[in-house]
Amino acid sequence: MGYFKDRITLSLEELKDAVSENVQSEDPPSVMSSLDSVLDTLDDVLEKDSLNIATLSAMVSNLLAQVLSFHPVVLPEDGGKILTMCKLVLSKKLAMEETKDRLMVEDLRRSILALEELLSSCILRVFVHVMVELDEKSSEKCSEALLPQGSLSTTDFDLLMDRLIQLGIIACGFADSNKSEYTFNYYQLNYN
Amino acid sequence: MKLCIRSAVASLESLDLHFVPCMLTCHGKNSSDRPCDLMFQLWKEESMKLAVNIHKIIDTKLFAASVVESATETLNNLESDRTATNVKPLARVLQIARVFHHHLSLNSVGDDVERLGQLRKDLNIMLKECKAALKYVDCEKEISKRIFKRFRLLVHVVGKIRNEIPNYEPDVEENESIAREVGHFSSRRQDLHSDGVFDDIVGATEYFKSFGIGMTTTTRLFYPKPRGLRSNAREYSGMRNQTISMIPQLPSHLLSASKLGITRRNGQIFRQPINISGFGQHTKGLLPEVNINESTMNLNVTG
Repeated sequence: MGYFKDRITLSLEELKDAVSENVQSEDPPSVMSSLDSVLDTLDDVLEKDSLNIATLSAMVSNLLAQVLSFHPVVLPEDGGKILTMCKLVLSKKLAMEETKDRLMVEDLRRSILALEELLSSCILRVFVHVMVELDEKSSEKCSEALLPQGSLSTTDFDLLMDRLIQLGIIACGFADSNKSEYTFNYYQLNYN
Repeated sequence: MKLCIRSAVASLESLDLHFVPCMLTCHGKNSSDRPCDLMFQLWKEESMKLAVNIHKIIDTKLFAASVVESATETLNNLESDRTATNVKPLARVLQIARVFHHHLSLNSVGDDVERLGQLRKDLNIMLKECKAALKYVDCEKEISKRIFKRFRLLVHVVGKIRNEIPNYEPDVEENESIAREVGHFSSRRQDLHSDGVFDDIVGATEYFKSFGIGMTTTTRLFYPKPRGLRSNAREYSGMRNQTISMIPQLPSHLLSASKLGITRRNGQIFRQPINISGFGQHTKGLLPEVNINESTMNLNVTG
């Protein structure tokens, strides 16, 4: 019991700090934001002709790592596509490092754009999938859903949770920070 | 809204740690007020909050396109493969359509446009009919044919809604940069056609309209958040040197605006294949035939 008490006090103190300081915290890093930053850098490079291969390739590697960490979340049928696209980007990156050519940078940019497109369609599919699952689960009770013979095993649940959190993190970057407009209505939660 | 999403994500993250262990320890107890039930309730609420918020920032048009695409695929598969059991995939199609209907009502699409409102009502009716029809799926062949027809109609209504939804209107500065880009494009075209078909009088935007290219169509997943003029200007000036090249038989996911050389990189993540179905007779010999219908995120799916 003491553990929970401590947690509650800690959270309350953090909340107090946050409210008093009124800090504007940054968005959590997501795949999409790093994609954006890489593409911005590439545009800069292409415009100014200042080719800093080391920084660029580091950024691309970082991006690839993020995409791969996003990989387990997407639907199984999309996983292969993403891996292939990552391989393509990687090969372009290696080619760029080797030749240090402007054309190669352009090539890399195109492959990253394709990767972005693929990712966004994957995210949409994940979203639809998650919504359908939530729709199913919302009518069930925990006791039925989470029993060993129930419709939801722990691995499935973990996956659903991961997907939700990832979607939320990505959505964070796109939501407007308008506080007043939004009112939450509980009835919105229920279908039909 | 951002705060809501963040708080939902944070509480989901903290629930994630405790939920499964709690569920495992509670397993087998039969009392009515088990802590895991409470947690599950909380989880449902938080995840629904998150879902509602994401619904509000998702681009309806793209969502509809995706629904049409996946539903058509499922229906085609089922109709070609008679041996498969039909109930589960059909129920899934129905559920996806329900989610879409929910999305429409959340965003109050069609509240002010009469035609869209009518289509929304139609969708609701079709949903009910399909739900009722689902009970008879495994009956005789004749009946199951009719049921498929119902589902086709359902998908068709979604497609109609997609067509009716107005395109996302970019704000002023975005319009300016588009005009600049389009101007560049049209001057290039004039080089190609020096016979005067495209003369200077044709304004940039009208020029594109005459081709049936909606420069403002969106298939972005999320509505864009506003970004500064500076980044826009930089991105567009970077685009000027690009050549217009169309490569036939690209893999479908590569067939995008960027690959057509008309990249619109303006800070939003999800940009789309430009609808070139209306590319007029002027360009017939000029451009290779590209089967847009095979593109993944397509605008031309008719259901």
